[in-house]
Amino acid sequence: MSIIANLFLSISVVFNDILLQIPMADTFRSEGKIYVVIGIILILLIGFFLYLWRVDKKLDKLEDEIKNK
Amino acid sequence: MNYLMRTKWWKWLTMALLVYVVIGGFLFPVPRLPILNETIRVLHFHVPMWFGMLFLFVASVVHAIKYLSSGKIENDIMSNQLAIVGTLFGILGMLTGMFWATFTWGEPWSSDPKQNASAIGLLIYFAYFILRGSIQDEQQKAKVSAVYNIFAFAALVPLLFILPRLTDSLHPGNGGNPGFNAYDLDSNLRKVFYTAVIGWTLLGFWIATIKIRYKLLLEKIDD
Repeated sequence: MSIIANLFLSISVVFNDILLQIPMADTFRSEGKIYVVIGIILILLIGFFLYLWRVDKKLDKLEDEIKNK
Repeated sequence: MNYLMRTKWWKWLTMALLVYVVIGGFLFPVPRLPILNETIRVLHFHVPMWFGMLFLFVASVVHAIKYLSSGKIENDIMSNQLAIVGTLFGILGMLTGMFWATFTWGEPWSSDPKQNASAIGLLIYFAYFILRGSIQDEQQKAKVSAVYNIFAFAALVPLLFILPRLTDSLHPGNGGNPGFNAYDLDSNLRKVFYTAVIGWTLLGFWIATIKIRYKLLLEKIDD
């Protein structure tokens, strides 16, 4: 029984090794710091959206003003 | 375009989609590919630039044709501004592509057929702006540039979608392959990629509507 379990384990280890041969940001992800990057990009993205939204609003106002003249 | 300028709901959609793209694009599992490694995630940011450019250019041509049939200056303004934002997307796509290629293909410019063709395509659109700038008379400017716009788009399509497929290319889906989705695009990537294309394209249209409305106001003040 333990032999079979061992066999499965070693297969999974080998499989894992093959997968890990292609370098990915595994360590980075395991440390959780990737969320910081996402957070910063989201702050930037939302900042730009708010700005775009404000410009949009200003145009709305200006359009109304010119229409009422 | 008129519909997009009247309504607001799609702006919320744009923001939601792009927030999803950033979160999903960075966190969802991606296929482990040699050379590309983690940069496969650039797919959600570089490729949608080109898609966005294409959709903006399509809208630009539609309004160029509308101008030619109606003679309304509004259509010329829309066509022109859409082409400007489209070109901006193209330049961003080019820059991100070159940066990506530096780390995957080994150099920013490999004279890859698709790279060369998209550079030619952008140059054709640069010529559009030069042409516009060189004509003083408003009516003539609008008419000539509308005709040129149709020509430019007609030249862009074979440059981006036909010529690179006739030869070998570093870009996936080129060099005789039927399309980019048959083998390359994994289902996890698709979930974000399609959203990314829609989201970035809508962002382009948002910027374009702002520019168009500004130009229309200028036009009104001038009258």
